[in-house]
Amino acid sequence: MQDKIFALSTAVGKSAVAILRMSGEGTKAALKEIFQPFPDKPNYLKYGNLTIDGLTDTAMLVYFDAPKSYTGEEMAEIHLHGSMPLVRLVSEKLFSLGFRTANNGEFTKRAYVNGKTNLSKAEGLADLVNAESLAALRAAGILARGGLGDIADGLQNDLTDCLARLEAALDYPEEDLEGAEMPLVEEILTAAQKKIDGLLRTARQGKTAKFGARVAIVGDVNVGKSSLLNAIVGYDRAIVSSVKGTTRDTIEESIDFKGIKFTFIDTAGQRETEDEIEMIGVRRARAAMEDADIVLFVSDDDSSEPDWIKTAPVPTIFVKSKGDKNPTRQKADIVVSGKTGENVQQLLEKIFDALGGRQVMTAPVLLTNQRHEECLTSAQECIKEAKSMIRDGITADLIAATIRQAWQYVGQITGNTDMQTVVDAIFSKFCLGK
Amino acid sequence: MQSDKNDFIFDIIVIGAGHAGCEAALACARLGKKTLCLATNLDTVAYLACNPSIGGTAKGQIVKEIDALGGEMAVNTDKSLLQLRMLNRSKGPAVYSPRAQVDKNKYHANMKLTIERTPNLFLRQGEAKTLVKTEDGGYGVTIANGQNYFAKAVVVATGVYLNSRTVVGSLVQDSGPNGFANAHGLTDSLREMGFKILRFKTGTPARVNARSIDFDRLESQQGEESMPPFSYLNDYKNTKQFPCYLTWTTAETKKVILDNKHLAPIFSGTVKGVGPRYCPSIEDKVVRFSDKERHQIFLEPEGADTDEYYVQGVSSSMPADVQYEIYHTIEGLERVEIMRDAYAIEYDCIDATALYPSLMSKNHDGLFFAGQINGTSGYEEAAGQGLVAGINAVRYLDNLKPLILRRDQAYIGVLIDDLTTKGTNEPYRMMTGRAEHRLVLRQDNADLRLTEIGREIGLVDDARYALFKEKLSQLEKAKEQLNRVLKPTEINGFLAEKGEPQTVTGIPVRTLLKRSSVRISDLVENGLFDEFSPQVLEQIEIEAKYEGYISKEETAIQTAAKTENKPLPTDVDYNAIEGLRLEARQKLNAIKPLTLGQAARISGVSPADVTVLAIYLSGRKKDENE
Repeated sequence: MQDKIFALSTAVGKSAVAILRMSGEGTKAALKEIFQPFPDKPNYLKYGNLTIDGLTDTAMLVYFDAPKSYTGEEMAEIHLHGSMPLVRLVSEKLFSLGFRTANNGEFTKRAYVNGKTNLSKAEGLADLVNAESLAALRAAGILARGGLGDIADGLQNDLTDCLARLEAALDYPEEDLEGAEMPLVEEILTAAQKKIDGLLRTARQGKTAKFGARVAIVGDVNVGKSSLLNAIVGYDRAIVSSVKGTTRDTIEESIDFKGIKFTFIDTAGQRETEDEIEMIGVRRARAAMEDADIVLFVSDDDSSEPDWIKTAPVPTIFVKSKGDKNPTRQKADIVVSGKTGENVQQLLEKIFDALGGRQVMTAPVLLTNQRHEECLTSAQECIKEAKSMIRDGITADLIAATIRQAWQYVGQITGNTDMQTVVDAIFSKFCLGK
Repeated sequence: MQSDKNDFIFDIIVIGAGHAGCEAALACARLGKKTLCLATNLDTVAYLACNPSIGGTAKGQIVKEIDALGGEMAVNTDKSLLQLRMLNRSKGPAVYSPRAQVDKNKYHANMKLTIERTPNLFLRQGEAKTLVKTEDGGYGVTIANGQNYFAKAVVVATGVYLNSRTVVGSLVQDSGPNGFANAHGLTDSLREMGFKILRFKTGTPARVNARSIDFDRLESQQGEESMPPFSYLNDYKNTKQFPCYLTWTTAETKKVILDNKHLAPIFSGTVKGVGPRYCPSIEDKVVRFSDKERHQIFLEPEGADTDEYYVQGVSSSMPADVQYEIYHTIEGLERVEIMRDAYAIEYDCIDATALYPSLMSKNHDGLFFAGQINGTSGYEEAAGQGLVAGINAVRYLDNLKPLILRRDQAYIGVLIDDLTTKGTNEPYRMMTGRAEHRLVLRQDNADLRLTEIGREIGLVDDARYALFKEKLSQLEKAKEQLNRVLKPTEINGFLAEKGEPQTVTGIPVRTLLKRSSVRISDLVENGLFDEFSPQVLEQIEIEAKYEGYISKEETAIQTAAKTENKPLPTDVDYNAIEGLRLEARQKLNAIKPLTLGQAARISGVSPADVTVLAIYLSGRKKDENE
């Protein structure tokens, strides 16, 4: 029995409609939990409501019964509004329903395995899977020289060097080996860690390029958050009034700034409230903040920031609002006026800078592949573990095993997982043997 | 004169009686096959042409594996011991590596006697000149005196003897190692059968007289007291400890070599064979690593009945007079008497990718290859292959599935998989670094990994099996004790002594052993753990201390096993599989991998190709089911 997989079938980014495709036994049952009314027969696209964690949006759904589907398994498609945050939300829900993301070519693979297509139709498969490795991308001319590929190669070389030193000492215990000492190994590992950090940073930038950035506008009640949103998007999107707590639910609106999509989320003002609906809004505002890439903390006076903003998990820009009334600039990164539009453009620039927007738009290559990011994260964990093992005086056989794992993870990106590389490095580095 | 035709007809012929040939021949005969073992010269049986030493990193593990399967090398080593040590004691149990110094003459004599006394086994001096296929699907071997021998299966284990030549400066001799006669003719037979012939090179240092070594100025290196012997069969405590000695080259050595570089055959082109990087000659070391001021040298005794010493680290093919100068620049060897010159040796070998992982030829059923002819280096690597080739020659005759050890099962498995999947372009030496599952391929658990397999094959006799079973039950008992919780009153005194924190609630032995300062031997000494054999204690201690890492490794193995062990039929025409890249099709057709894992390791086969293969397999399986 095949497990449940899903993938986004439409292009990533702005589009009118986003289509998620699913396959595997139990697909129908799982989707019934989030889509109502569920179509009562297969092969018909049905309009309905998609409800996820209390949020509802309209969408369309079609399902196919096994074996009368592309893969020969139970399948479904959900047609959503083309919003990446929405796609992200639905994807997360699908994970919790037991789906996993499909590997490249996996739908086609299943179609082949289930006898729905033959290999010549599935021909593009090898290329698809191949494109997972940077080496292949480079070979295909997709990857520019001097970009990510070189950094990854450099990283693997560092780890090869490190392993060669350790392995030489393990396999040649009787030799007098200079350069196989643990402090040196640790030093190389630290350098590798820095490289991975750099790469993972480009992963965040890569995501920004692909999905845009979410900017949460938070602050106390009635400080001008909604006015700010309206000034940014250029029309009266949110209701503005002097009544505290006017904005109860979060409001999202996107703009394109220098090629990057910024999605602003206007949130309910933070205050203790008895009003049940407003309370939900306050909770949602906190959630929006956690989901954001940047937080704009808006205040209209010079009071110091509250604790909940100090612990925000993402970069925060302190915005002083109502600049038309009180233009001083204490404890704020920028003073803006939603009413006159003063400094709004500068605020956007600040957001752009905080996201590393220049790198996002000019870097030759960004890490945009989810699998690559996972490999690097795993490699980073191994290196961290190896370093702590060195400090704890754990024996070299185990340290080497841990570094070897890191090497393998990086190898999955560069396309080189042949241990012979390490053996070659041992002999080029050390004079060994009888 | 009477002639019984049966005297010339065998089940299996083993060509060569080196370390591969001996294991192969013994395995065949012990499994009941009438076996002929041919050697160019019976004085070369199990001859240690280089180091008087068995084991070392990765190699020691292989010897343990051979023993666990019922082979001879460990037993013969124990019989011929001069010194025993465990390398890498400080680097963790995954790389603990037993190494023995052995008596070279005794090693040869002991092995020869074992062979002579083995039923079904016939040892015969005679150079195999030709090898031909007979009409009945078997083979015929003609030896130098013109006699023809016939068998249904043949194991070729010719070592470094095929068309070999030795080089000492401009003195190039048509000779085998140490002046022994080499072998001609067989290479032509192999070439005619379609084998690609490669030319490899190796070398050995000079042997010198003990009386001319200034031992007083050298650091001696003793063996490890009371270390258990190599073979699982033996449990006496080894007491023989002939020391080795440590010395260094000097600035003068470097100068002599650089001044005479133009005379070095490896630089002048006289030596054309590909040499191993891990066994470089002294001239190679000095030239390639010119910033290294001095190189380490070991003096190893060649035997108890000789004063010859082996000078590890100074192999060379320089002219004899230059060698003389080089050796005299070494600390403690200023007045050394060279008894035998160092030399390089070139020889023919085959490309082992022509073989299945059973070591049988892909194109000639019943024809097996083992040892240096497959491009390896080292006694242990040869013996491991010899054992597998011998076992599989028997299984071929008996129509049984061949023994193929997996990479997560044995170093021997890693070795043979590497050779038959990737081939090698230099003499292949086993290293622990080549084994991706090093944490589970340890010297202490070779019997746990392989003895049941050896029993099933038939090489593990009742005596060995009974010992093995006994060890298993001891291990069970010892494992139970790991769970015992030591009360504070029992253990706190000990902990205080060790400078370890006290326990209030008590502590299980297993947890206690995870502390790096606590050794199981300490517990036994303090009466906190029952006495078991050192082997059982070692095993238990490793399992307790490394539990987490080992189970992680085992999980990784199981995860990989799904792909790794998925069988690939040998009748697949890879050209017909669409979706594979051209290079992959060619490589796959050439190698004919037996599993998806093996396919993945072929250079030129990408992960994408493997995915296509996996898909192809699922489709094929479905077709077969329908």
